[in-house]
Amino acid sequence: MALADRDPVLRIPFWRNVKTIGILAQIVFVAVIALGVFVLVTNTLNALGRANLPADFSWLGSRAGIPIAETPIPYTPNDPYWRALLIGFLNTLKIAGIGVILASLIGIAVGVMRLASNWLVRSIATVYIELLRNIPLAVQIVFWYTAVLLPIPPRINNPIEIPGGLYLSNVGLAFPFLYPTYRFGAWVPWLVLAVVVAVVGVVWRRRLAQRSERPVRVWPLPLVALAAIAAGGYYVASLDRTLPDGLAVDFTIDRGRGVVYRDLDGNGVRGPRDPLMPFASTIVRIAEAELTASTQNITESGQLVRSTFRFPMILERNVEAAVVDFGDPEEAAERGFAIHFTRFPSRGVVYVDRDGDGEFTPGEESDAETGIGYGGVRLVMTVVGYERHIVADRDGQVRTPAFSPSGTVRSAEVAPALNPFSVFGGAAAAESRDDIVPLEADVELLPAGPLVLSRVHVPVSSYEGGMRLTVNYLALLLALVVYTSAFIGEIVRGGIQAVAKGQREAALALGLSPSQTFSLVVFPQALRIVLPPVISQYLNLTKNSSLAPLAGYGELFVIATIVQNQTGASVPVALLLIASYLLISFVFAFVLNIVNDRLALVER
Amino acid sequence: MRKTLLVLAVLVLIVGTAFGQGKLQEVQARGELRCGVNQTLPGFGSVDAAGEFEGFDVDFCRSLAAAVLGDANAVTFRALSAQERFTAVQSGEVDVLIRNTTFTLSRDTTVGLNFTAPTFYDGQGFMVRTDSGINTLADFEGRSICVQSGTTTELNLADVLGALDVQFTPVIFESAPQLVSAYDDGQCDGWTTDKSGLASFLPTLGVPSDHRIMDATISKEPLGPAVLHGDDQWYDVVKWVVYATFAAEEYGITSDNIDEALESPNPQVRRMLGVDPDQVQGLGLSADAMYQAILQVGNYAEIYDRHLGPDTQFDIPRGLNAPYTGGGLLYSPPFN
Repeated sequence: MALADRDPVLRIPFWRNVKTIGILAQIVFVAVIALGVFVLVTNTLNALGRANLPADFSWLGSRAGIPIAETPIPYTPNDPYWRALLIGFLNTLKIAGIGVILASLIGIAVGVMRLASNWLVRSIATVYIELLRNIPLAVQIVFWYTAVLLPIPPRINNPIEIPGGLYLSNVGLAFPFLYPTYRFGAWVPWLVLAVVVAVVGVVWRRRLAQRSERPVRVWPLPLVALAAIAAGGYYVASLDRTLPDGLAVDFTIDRGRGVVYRDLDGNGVRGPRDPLMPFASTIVRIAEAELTASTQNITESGQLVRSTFRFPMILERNVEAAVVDFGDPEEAAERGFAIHFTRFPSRGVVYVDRDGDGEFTPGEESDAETGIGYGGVRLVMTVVGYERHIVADRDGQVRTPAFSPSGTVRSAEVAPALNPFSVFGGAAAAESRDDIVPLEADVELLPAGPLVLSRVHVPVSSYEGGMRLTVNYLALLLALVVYTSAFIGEIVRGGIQAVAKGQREAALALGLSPSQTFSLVVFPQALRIVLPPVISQYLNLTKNSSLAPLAGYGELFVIATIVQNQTGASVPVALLLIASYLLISFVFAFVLNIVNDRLALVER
Repeated sequence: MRKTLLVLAVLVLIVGTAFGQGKLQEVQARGELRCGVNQTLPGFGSVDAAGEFEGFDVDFCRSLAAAVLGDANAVTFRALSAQERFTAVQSGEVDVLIRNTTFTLSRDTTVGLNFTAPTFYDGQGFMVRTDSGINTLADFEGRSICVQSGTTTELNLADVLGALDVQFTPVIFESAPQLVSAYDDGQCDGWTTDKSGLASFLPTLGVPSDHRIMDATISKEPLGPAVLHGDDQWYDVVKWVVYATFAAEEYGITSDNIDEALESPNPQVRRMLGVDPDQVQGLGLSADAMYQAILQVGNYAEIYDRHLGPDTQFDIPRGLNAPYTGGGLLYSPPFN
């Protein structure tokens, strides 16, 4: 009875039921959040609508019109915005990927050096870390770019030549590179086979090692097999020396530029449907032609260079004969000019032989009284039998110096006063070139193996062929690598010191050498401690690459800023930026966390 | 929520009164003109050693102040960046924007500005080394060009050289000083921006005589004062003060001889200088407004020569910026 009386009191009304309250509170919470988001979104959309700014992504398909210097995939300003942004994204990956690898290598080296027993080595590492860690990254980027890489290397038409075909100038670094040709497809099955054989081999050797009592080397045999099959396949794939059907070259000699393409419709003219032929191997021959240059007084690598002339880089072995003479021989004779080559036939100085010894003496390249060099002296190079092996670039393009027909050296006063009203002012100038008799260039297409070695050359005033890294990229890369490696170095040092001292002593007591102790005992254990903080340094490096505007490198942030400026789509661009950086960070974190899990101590 | 409503109401009130009053009355009541200018473009708008603003654009601010307030020094200058400038006009922070701003359709419509007569007809040009062998745009084939981002220059560059089928390497920079040092160090064969900008930075290069500005012009960049859309009276005032500087040059009136010009029988001159007061007063200004502007700051030619003319380090030829009588585009409607 008593229970029944108390029952209505015991029944809790639903609004006081903890369960209901909990659910209600969550519904209210979600509703408030949803309302907040709704207000924010509609408010933004309204504001954007009022300002006539795009709030969606429809502009992604419009023509971008932005010129971009470094494009990992083919790109022209006529491509849409999404492609420009994609290029920015790839450029970010290019700097982050290489940067992470280099920063790790340097960081580990510095971290190990900090613990070295040698005082000098230890001190160098300490100074390196303390100095670089405490200077803001932005300052370092500006330093590498404007204080080191722009002023110190020589200019593009006088690059430092490093053995192995490397060229360094203040435009950037370029080196020979292997590129896949049209015949690469024939090699691919062999490569697949080689990899499969190698994998099977490794598995087999591992099993053998487990069963065997004696030590078995797992890697050498499968690797030899891999190399042998790949090399054999390369040879077989290169046997067929025929060129693809309809391969042709459209060469515009007065522009010094040609395009290798496949004339699929067979009309002998390059149409819009004819595919370009990347990395085709060609030989360009020009019977006789002329180039002009003027002497200049310039500051290069911090030094004043007087009376110097630089023709486009023509190597002696590429020509049968090359003669350099004055554009105005009478005037030159009158003023007593002579030519001294620093590198025949492209580079040299004009001087007056004052001491009469018949050769160039330093000091003779400038006026004795004023000390001013002889600027603006016109020189003409006549080239006979130009012949050069040129590998087309990614867009099927081959480039030679812009030769003029022999004997028709253009006068210096070509520039007609263009009508300032005409927006396409240069058209008139282009027409005036029609009266020049076109030069004859003979372009021979060579059969190629699956890979072709593309060498660097400087036909006009930028690198062609090979792999090219701009000075903007190098400056940003250097700054990021050096800055991040200082942090990684400290992390590595901490990780090594965290390995129990007894481990090292035990390893040494077992008779392992100090290097074996380090690589087999200490470092693997240190790696476990080091990896998580190093992952966050990798992410830092990636995000810090958005300081690229300081070095003029066209990565994602730079291109996104330009796109935002052109379209006014600030919110969509910001969203894309956030999504891109999140994506990169997530992928990094995901991959490295898997590695981390595998390395982590398995406790039972 | 109530607080927000209150703030909104106050804002509406303030904005309402500000609009109700009109910019001209607002400026006159305040006793000083707020003028948005550049401080990083020598010749057009920069700060001298004494901390004073000077330049071609700056002088038009002074002319306007002289006309509206009778005192060419009654100006507060606001140095604005390219990104800030439109917001500053929209928010009413500046009364007028005279900061080498190009008159374009979208700025007239979406940005909500009204442009007066252009004070400087500019165009995108190229700077190259004199000995580079580059004489026409076609000579940029295979070469590199430095360009500043965030403006129309990179679009013009790609469009024009693309139309000429010239393949070049662009090197894009965010700030002008960075670009100039890269060009000076020889990273690029050429450098493109507005010709006025080229002329303005030319003297800062290592050896200025080694460089020249090419003749080719690839875009139209009419630069002029801009005011906020929607205040016709203020727009008229700014517009006619600019015209007065054009007209004064056309009629040969300078700050030196203006008192003699007051005796002129030419009815145009008499109306402009307020000898016949009705026309200028119709703008809501005092009758001697244009007289004060020209007396205190000078006519167009004086302003031009003071900052950009042959006696300055820039020495920019008048070109399109000559009176229509001299083959240029400066043309003032009649003061009738």
